[in-house]
Amino acid sequence: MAQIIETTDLAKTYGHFGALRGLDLSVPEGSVFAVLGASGAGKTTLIKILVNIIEPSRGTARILGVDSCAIDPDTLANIGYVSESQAMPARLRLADFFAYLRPCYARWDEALESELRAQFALPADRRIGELSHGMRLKMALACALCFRPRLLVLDEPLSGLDALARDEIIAGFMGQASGTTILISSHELDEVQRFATHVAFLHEGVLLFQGSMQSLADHARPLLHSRDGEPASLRDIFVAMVRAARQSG
Amino acid sequence: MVGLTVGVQVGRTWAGASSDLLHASPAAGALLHPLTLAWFIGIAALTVAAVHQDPIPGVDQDWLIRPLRRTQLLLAKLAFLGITVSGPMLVMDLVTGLAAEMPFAPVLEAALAKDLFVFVCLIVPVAALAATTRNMTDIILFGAALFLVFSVSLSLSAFFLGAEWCPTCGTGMVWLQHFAQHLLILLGALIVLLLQYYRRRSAIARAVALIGAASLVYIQLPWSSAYAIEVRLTEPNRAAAPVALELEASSPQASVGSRSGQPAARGRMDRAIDYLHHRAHEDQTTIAIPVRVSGIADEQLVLLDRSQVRIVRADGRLLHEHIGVGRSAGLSMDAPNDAIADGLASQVVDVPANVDAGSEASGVRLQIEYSMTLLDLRAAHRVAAAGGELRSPDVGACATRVHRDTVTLSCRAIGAAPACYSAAVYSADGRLGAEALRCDGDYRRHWPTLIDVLSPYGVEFQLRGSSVLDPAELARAYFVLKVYGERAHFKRSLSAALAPFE
Repeated sequence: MAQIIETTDLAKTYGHFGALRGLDLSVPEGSVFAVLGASGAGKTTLIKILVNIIEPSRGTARILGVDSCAIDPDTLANIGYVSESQAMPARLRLADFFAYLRPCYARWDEALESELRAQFALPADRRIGELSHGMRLKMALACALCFRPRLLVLDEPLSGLDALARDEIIAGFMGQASGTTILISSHELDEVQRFATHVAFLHEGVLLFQGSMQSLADHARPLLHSRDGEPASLRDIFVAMVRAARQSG
Repeated sequence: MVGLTVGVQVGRTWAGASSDLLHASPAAGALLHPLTLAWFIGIAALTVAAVHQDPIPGVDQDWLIRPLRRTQLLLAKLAFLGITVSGPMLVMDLVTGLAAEMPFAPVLEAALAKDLFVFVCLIVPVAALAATTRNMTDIILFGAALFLVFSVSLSLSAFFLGAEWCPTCGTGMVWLQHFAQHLLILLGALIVLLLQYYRRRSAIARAVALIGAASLVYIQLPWSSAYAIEVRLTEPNRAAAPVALELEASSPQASVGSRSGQPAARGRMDRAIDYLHHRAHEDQTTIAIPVRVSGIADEQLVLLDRSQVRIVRADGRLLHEHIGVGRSAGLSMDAPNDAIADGLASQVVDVPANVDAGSEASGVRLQIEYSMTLLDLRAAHRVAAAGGELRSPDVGACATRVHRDTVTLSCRAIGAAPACYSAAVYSADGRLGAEALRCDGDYRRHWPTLIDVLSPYGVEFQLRGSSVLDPAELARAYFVLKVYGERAHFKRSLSAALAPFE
């Protein structure tokens, strides 16, 4: 399987603090790849490096075959991006924001836009600054899906949402992004377990594991001796791995 | 915000048009300065707001992950400011010029030059500063930091270098320094914009801006370079060859004394030096040396740009040096507005107490080098003092008015007003009633105005109690307006051997 994202010895430091410490990560094309970790593990730093919002201190990252530091508008036109902290023009109305984005993407699908706006019940005449957190995330997701990106990057899209909003968001990207590679960062392990095909565990900037969900189960078996026959949850595996990392570190 | 900025521009244009000598509207006069300030603030605020629509510092902005070309983004913002600021400004400048019945082509040329100047020297630098910040609070704080750096640099420079911190200041050649500073600002602004829009290096960009603010003070054009450039820009000629300065031989006297008191001695030059030797109680002594000026033709003026006074020993050791510009150059004569004419002038030299010139066993020399500019007459016009009108490419449009015992000549020039002009009012039979010379000694060429496309200038004489021209004669009196232009820049030196005293 081709790799849509590859990082080599990727590191980011802020002063003496190492946010990322030599990550070698590969995201297969067509996967739903979840980057999991506690707050401060380096998930958002990794994602912002991948889309060239910040530069790495060391190492390289390639996204859609392009060095992340040299990412160009043509590459960005194939990446949908949603972040919980995305600062959008607060004074624009939703309809105006969609109108502003349409010419930016050659593959913008207006029928899909209508469908998504209806699916998420987005009010066209409301200003972005007046939207709730959940509504803003739904709008950002709709904007990220309308041009049918090859890669959808979701940075903590579920955080701070109620169960209903989470379901709507998950249904949104899982239902409309078939064929699209999805990279999602989250610390909501139970939710991610429902749809991820691949996972990576990050702990204090270090990659503890990456691979498919099946290989994760195989990898975690020696760490989880107490539950005979019962499948281990993502949460159990993650906690066990972090404990093991702390003991060995 | 665009509407507000345009509104301020309209108000300021009205106030400017209503504030010349002949149409002095009190309301317009009172509003002119606040509206000018509001005009600058409005343009700056609109520029900042346009840039801050897509702020560059930070990691959460939506535009960073959109397929936007940075060049297009930058050009779009500059184009927006061009349309919303420069466009209305151009229209208003044209309307102002044409309403004053000025010819279209020169008004258009001046308006375009002004708009380009405002765009390049105000909008682009403000956009660059805005690009280093995220919001209005950030830019106000950063602007305060820049102002602080500039002020501290200025204070330090003036403290350590004195008047020499700016060798061209106070002279007509300061425009070269201003030109260099504007180039520096533009260059710095372009570097900051490129750093921000293509590399997003906010810390480096801010450092560039702070270093640039200090550089505006510390990077100064040396006098010799400014003079050489100015001479090179002037068409070669020998017009200044006949102009001579000599120590007055027939009256070889100098007066000496403290700055605050009466002359303490008057007599030969060596007596002056003798006084210096014995004046331990004085903190500074002033010597006034007679200088004979000759060779200045009729309808010519000479401006003193700079004087360099040196007192040196015979072995070449410098005892004292003073550099003066403009009024502080020290050469003065009984002529209006610092102009030098044929006749006897007086060179004033301030000698500090620690210069013990008189104690030298060998002779002491006084050396003075003058840098001067010869101006010649470019245009002369006669216009009736009461209700007269004058239009000419040299002077612009002028009108006159007599009101009781006051006679006024009010003009508007396209672009900058003449840097050097004289106006005199004569009676019908040719008796001079009053005259004034306004000479800024500004040698710039094609320097656009920043605020108004038409620049007002003129004179006003009050003739109450005049012994020459009775106010009753003003109805038939006339003005003569003369405009002078620079012809040649030249140097003259004086040197006097000061014999040792017994």
